[in-house]
Formats: sequence, C-alpha cells, structure tokens
Amino acid sequence: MTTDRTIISVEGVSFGYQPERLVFDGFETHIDRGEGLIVYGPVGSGKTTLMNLILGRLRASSGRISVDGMTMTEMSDSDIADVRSHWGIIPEDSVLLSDRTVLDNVQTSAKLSSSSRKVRRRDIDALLRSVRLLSKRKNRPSDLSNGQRKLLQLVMAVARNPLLLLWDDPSIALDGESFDISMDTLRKLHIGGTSILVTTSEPDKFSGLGWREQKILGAEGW
Amino acid sequence: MVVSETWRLFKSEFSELLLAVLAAGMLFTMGNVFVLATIDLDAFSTDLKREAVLEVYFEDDVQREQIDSIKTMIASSEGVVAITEKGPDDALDEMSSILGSDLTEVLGFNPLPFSLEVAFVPETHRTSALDSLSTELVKQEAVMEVHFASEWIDNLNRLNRLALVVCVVICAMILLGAAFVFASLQRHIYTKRLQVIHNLVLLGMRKAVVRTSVLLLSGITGALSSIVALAVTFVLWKLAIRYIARFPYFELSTLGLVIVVPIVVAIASSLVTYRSFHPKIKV
Repeated sequence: MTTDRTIISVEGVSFGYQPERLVFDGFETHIDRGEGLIVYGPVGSGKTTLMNLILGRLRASSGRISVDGMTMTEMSDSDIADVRSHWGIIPEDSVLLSDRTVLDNVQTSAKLSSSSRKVRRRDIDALLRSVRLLSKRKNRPSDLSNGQRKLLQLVMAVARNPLLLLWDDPSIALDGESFDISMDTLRKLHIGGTSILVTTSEPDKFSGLGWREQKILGAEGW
Repeated sequence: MVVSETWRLFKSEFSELLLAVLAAGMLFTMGNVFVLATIDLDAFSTDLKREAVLEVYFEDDVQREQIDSIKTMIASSEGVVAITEKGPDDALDEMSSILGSDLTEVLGFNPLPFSLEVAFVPETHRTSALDSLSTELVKQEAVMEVHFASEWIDNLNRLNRLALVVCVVICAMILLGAAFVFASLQRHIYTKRLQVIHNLVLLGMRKAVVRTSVLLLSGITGALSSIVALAVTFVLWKLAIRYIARFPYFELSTLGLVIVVPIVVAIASSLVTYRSFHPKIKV
C-alpha cells in the first residue's frame, strides 16, 4: 500500500522485451522509507528487469512506477539522474569504473552523490577496511576477484550515504565470508535508516535480516 | 569536474591509442621498406639492362659506305644512345684478354669480323622492339649476324613485374593488417570508454557533464588524429616529390594537402567520436 513514506511504488507494471512475450505482467510492490525489502523469484522471473525499470534504464509497457510520488515516465533525464544521485546502486552488471583505482572508484561514486553528508577519506578507508579491501585501494577493479568487485560496489554504494540502496542479487559472486560481510554492512545501513531493496533467487540466505519478502512471478508463472 | 573526467578518460586510453598508432605506423613502415626495395630492384635491373647492347656483325668484305648506311639506319631507331664501332683488331684484343692467348698464333690470321655495338636507353629494352630492329638489320646485305641478350632482358623484365606484383600484394596485406589492428584497438577503447561513461551516468553524473566531457574528448582525439595525419601526409608528400613530381604546381598542391588533410581528418575524427558516443549514452 502506498503512503506518504513510500519512496518507490510499482503499480500494475508489465514489461516484455518483445511485445508478445511479457517478462512479468501486472506486478505490484512498494518500498517505504527505512524499509528493507527482499524481492525473490527464480532465474528468469524478471528481478533484474524490475531493477532496471526502477533505475529508469527500461520503460514499462504498462502500469506505473513512481519515485517520491513522481511518475517515472513523466520525469526528464535530468530528474532521473537527480533521483539516482541519492541512491546506491549495485546492478547485476558491473558499475565499476575500469579506468581508475579502487579508491578512485569509491571517491568518484561519493563525489557524484547528492548526499548532504560528504564522505571523508578516512571514512572511505574505514569502509574499505570493513570489507577487507583496504590493501587493494591502489589496485584496478580488474585485479580483484568477482567477490571483491561486488564488495567494492557495496562500498561505492554505502559511501554515497544513500536514501535507498538497490542491490540486484547479492548472492551471485559472493562466497560465504564475503556474503556475511556484505550482510553485516546491509544490516548496519538499514539500522542507519537507509531503505534497501534486494533481489535474489535464494531468499533463505536473507531470512536472517528479518525484512519484508515479496515473490516476483514471471508472466509465464515461474 | 568536466575537465578532470575528460582528462581521466583520455589518460586511461592514451597508452592504447598510442599503441594503435604505433602498430599501424610500424606496419606502414614495413610496407614502405617493400616499396623502396621494389624501387631499388627496378633501378638495379635498369642498370643491368643499360649494359645489354645489340651487336651487329658484318661480312668480311663489308665496305665503309655500307657500315655508315647501317649506322644511319640504327641511329634513326628509337632509344639509341650510342653506336660504337669495333674493328677486327679491337675484337681480337678483347678476346685475347678474355682467353689469355692470341688466336692468330694458331690460326695465322684474325677471323673476327667488324662489328657495331648499339646501346639503348633502358626503357627501350623491350625484346619485341629489339627483335624488329634486329630482323631489319639481318636483311641488310653486308650484315652477317645480329646478337642481343633477348632472354636475359626478358627475364629481367619478368623479375621486375613479379617484384611489383609481390610488392602490391604485400602492401595490400599490410594495409589490411594495419587497418585491422587499428580498428581492433579502437573498438576496445570505444567499448571501454562507453562502459565507463554508462557507469558514470548510472552513478549520477549529469548528462550535460557527460556531453561536455565527450565533446572535449572528441576535440582531443581530433587534434591527435590531425597530428598523425600530418605526419603520414608529410611522408607521402616527400615520397611523391621524389618519385612522381612531374605535374605543374605540384609543391603547391601537395602543400595544400598537407594542410587540408589534417584539418579534414581532425574534423572527421572529432565528429565520429562525438556522434558515436553521444546517442548511446543512456541516462
């Protein structure tokens, strides 16, 4: 149910990469301020598509997605960029900047954020230390393992001091220890008041967070 | 922000851009070596052909008037540079120096005939032309025999043609190779740059900032391309002046090319860079 506290509202949204083949049909969800939401479903159910629709990278075939009460289809490119600058984003594909170091990636991400609280260098070092990447701060993303790259993207998102964190399937590429570290970071972020939307195909792994869970059903009824 | 992001994008690609230019440059240099080798081979065979003469041997009872008449006939042929008379005594001296003994000691007389050596400019060394002259000369009353190294000249001409074909094929392959290497590296740079730009936009960079950065980057790419184009055009201009500078206002027109080509290349590469990135930047 949409309230004044709702950041993102997805109402009756349908989408298909081809008009005759919908990925999902009439999907509904919302996320409120300070809320943690886990959207789960099997591979191919449309989790990444939903994420891209919320990010404005795709446009819904029908239905309405609104951010802070504004319908996304009515927002200009500049408005969408402005909204995203308040968010932390970890898409399925990498958001890393391959041409700069780990530290530069985090600094650039923080610099492009619209957050009023600016992150200092020692805060970034602390964040990198918490995910055990401090010793890699002068390395390029290509020098990191898949798991370390995911953790770096988490640090980049957290360094933005986001109002909302969107993470498309954290269970991919993260092994046991890295996963625990990232869950710990998510928990702290949530306690700090950040809204968090996570998609996954393995909801059991996130049950310990105690967040609201919602199943996404593909149009073919996965 | 704009300048620093542009600089970052440029700096990260500069080494690859330099590598692309150097790789293409090295391949072009290899092509140049083949062209120069072919030109040298042509010059060498021309020198050899210059040595090839047509020799006309006369009957023993030849008269001075007949020799002069034949000389006049030869002189009227195309490409004749020199006609040298070689009397029986001159021929004997030459043969003695080759054999190391005097033929007259055994034979008791000098059997060698009076002859003419006809030298041609190398361009005339087509065996068909020499053949027809030779046929005409043999028909003359006082002429005993006509010699020229037809097979040798034919082989030299064949070798030149073969070298030219090989050179053209190698240069074409090198040109394709250079284009492929350059295009592959450019594609790699392009993909990487587009990915970085997309991610920057996803992280919240304004479209206006991205546009300006891409515009600046296009300007830098254009400037660099124009420098490379200037260098290549200058080298081609120098080669052209050396080998084919024959038409009027050549220096003026090639100097025009040296100025026009880099400007056109700069504008084209700037536009291509800008147009190829700008529409693909999604917000």
